[in-house]
Amino acid sequence: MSEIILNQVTKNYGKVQGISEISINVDPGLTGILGPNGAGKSTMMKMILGLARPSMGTVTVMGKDPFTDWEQRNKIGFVPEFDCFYEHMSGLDYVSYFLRMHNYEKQEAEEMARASLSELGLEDSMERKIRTYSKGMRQKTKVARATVFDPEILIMDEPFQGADPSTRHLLMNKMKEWSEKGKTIMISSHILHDVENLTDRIILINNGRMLASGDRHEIRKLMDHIPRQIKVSPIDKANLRILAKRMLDEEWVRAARVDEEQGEILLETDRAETFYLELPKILQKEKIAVTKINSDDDSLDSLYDKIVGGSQWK
Amino acid sequence: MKEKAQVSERFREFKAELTSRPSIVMGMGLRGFLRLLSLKNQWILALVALIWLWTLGFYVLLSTGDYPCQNLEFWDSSDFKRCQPLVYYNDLGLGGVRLFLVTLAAISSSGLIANDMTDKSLHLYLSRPISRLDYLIARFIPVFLLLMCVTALPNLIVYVNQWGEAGLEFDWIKNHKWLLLDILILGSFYSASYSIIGLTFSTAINRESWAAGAFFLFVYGSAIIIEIFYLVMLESGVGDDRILLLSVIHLLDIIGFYIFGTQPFFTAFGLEGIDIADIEVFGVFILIIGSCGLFVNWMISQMEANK
Amino acid sequence: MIEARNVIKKYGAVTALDDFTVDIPEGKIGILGPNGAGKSTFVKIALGLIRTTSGSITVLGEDLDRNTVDIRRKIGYMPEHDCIPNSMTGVEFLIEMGLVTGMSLQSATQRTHEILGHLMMGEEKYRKIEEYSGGMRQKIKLAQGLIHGPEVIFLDEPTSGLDPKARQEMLETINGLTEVSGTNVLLSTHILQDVETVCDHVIIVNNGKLQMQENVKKLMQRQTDVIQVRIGGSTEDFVKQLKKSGITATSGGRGLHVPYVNDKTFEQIVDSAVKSNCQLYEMERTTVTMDNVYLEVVD
Repeated sequence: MSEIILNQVTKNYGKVQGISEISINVDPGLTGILGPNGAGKSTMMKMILGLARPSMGTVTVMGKDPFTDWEQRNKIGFVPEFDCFYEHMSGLDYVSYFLRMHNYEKQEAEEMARASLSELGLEDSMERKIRTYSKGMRQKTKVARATVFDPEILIMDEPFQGADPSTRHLLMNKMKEWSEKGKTIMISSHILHDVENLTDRIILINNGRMLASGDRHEIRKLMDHIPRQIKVSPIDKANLRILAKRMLDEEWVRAARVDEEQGEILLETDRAETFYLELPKILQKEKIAVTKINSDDDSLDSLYDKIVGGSQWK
Repeated sequence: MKEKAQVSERFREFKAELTSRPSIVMGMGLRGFLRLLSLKNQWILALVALIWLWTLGFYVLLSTGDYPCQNLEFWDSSDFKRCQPLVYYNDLGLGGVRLFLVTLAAISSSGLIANDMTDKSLHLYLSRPISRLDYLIARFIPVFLLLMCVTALPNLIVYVNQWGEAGLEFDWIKNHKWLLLDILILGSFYSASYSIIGLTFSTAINRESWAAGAFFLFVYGSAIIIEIFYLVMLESGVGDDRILLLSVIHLLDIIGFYIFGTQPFFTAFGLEGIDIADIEVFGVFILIIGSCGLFVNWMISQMEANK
Repeated sequence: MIEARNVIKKYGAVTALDDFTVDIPEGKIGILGPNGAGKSTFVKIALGLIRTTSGSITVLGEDLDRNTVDIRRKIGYMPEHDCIPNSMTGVEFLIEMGLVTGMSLQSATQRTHEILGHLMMGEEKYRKIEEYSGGMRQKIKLAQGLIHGPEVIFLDEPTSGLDPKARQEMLETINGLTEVSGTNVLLSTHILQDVETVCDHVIIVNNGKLQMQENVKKLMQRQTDVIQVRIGGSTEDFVKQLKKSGITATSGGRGLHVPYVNDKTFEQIVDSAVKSNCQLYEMERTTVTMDNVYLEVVD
């Protein structure tokens, strides 16, 4: 069974819409939540954390309702978008302070905090005051606080915001590591490139509605009515036109354009599955060697553009 | 002739003609001044009107001749149609103008730098082709001009009026050119001093209303406390006039009286003459204004360095 | 464009720039580095806002030791943090910034509306800035830096906090507005893809020293010895088929990594796909990404 289940969840704040009728199942592993600012990402996270009660629908986390079941919250780690530090504390004090609020012994709390912070590369600076931390270090401290309990579920709201590339790299590696251990991690980020590197599983929301969820390649397949452009580069440039002509013989190729300069052919198809299956066969038969088969349409950037722009609807 | 079809470029090249630094600073200052006088700042406008009414009201009162005369030592007062009423200035000061002036300085200066610092637009101003000093001058000009409007301007009207009563003779102005100059110097002196102190508070406390309150309490509150303290000391006979230098208002008034070349006198009791050496008065004044300037400069340079 | 010779900058005991020497060519330059590496310090020194402890710096051919104020006529600056006043409207603020730079009221007004047009700001430009969204505030910040048509603009994290669409718009505007007038760009950012999109050159700074300076295009063309392959259908069959041709594929990131031996490898991949009856979604020899380069240099 899925770790997190949202069933027809709607949340309104007075007359302001938060999210509307969102139904998703989130399995263990990494899931990216994408959408413009104000789309309802944070509201959805709050629901899962049990910080707010849905106006309609049900939220189930590990089989229980997180809003009423307080025990549940100890198993969910949360990295909020905004800083919420006691600036005068050191990173170590801060993390162990939270552990002690959860009835850990002082000694034990400090050891756990130390281990967690060192794991995130803050060995040298954990005893400095948070006031002196850079943005990257702040993000790491927030992550350390959220993961120190070893929670089953980790919810991260914009954890990469303002962090330098090394910090992002480190955080991403940790997330991959945790997800391989079977944790459920949900992460929202505006940097699609980072999400692309992390995971293929995404949830896309806009205006409080869920627009798409699942594996991004599967999502793209569902949108086959939007023609896909695929780039193919033969090794021998003499083959450019020959291959283009040959491809146009197939009924599932709608257009072909030769780009001499780049040494590639841009093929447009509305039956991508057939295309990808048949292309290797044609290449083999015609004895044309290629160095590249690739589509810009496959990037998360392009998928995001299309879905947020509304072109998934016919 | 046939019309030609045209398609314009989306982006076009742009190079701006830029003026010199002094005109940038003057422009900023004048715009700031006009913004202070805009209808949004009702309190400022009301105070300006009040000070004008007060000053001119006193002048009208004076012209009925009820006010006692007092001759100035510095120039030949026989040239005056009326004698120079020192008590008038004193009563005017104690009776309200001083209070209103300090209030006006407080509310008009408090926002100028404080707002730039809270919303951090100070960084944007400083990334323009003006130096830190240019920026400060540009922020100083609006308050200065506003205070000039309520110090020098009403007095000038009184002056012109006196001239009118003397029959608009050019000789009258020639004979009273020093008086004219003194009016201007006194106005600029008060305006500049209060502006600088006001801007210092605006820099130190970067919340507009708090800065205004602190300025007012510091200037007016300290004046009242010190005056009471001074009087108590006098009663017990151990007074030292130097205590008065601790109050900004008294310090400025002493110098103000110097400008008019008269013996200073203070307090509601009309106490006349104090025993402080000139060097002490001016030393304290320069110390205060100098440290204000250095402090503001330091604060802003700190902001430049840390984001 | 900017030449720094042995620049040292110390804040008390902390050394922000340590014997920093760089010769930045004209064009669009990305400046990368970890937090606190000295990027902001360098930008502030180039703006003439702070002075070096020692060393000399020349910006657009002018020595900053002698003239730190007038150089800013040729420079636009977009700071990272939020720094625009809430009480004005967007148009008022931009005109004010134009006037403070020394433009005439006429040309400042005209230029303001022109830039706001490029930034897709409609009627909201007449609204108070306090009502603006994060993306709009960012646009105003960019506009104030470009208002006087500077020869170079320093951009500090122009895309931080923007959602993907706003980010793309921002990058497009930066590219458009600077290309026509040949404005140079110094872009400091943490998002490495921004550098790939906008910049011709990249410099990496760490610990107050210059670590690397390279042409972006050249850098991106450097190929690695890995072919990225993504297939549909049975991955196992495909891997088995490849094994028969003596190639071991490893699973990596998204899809498979196949070691590149020579161009023959591509054919073998295609053959294996046909034999295992799989869709071949993607086959491309991977190039160096900015991430790789950055991590290599900095860590």
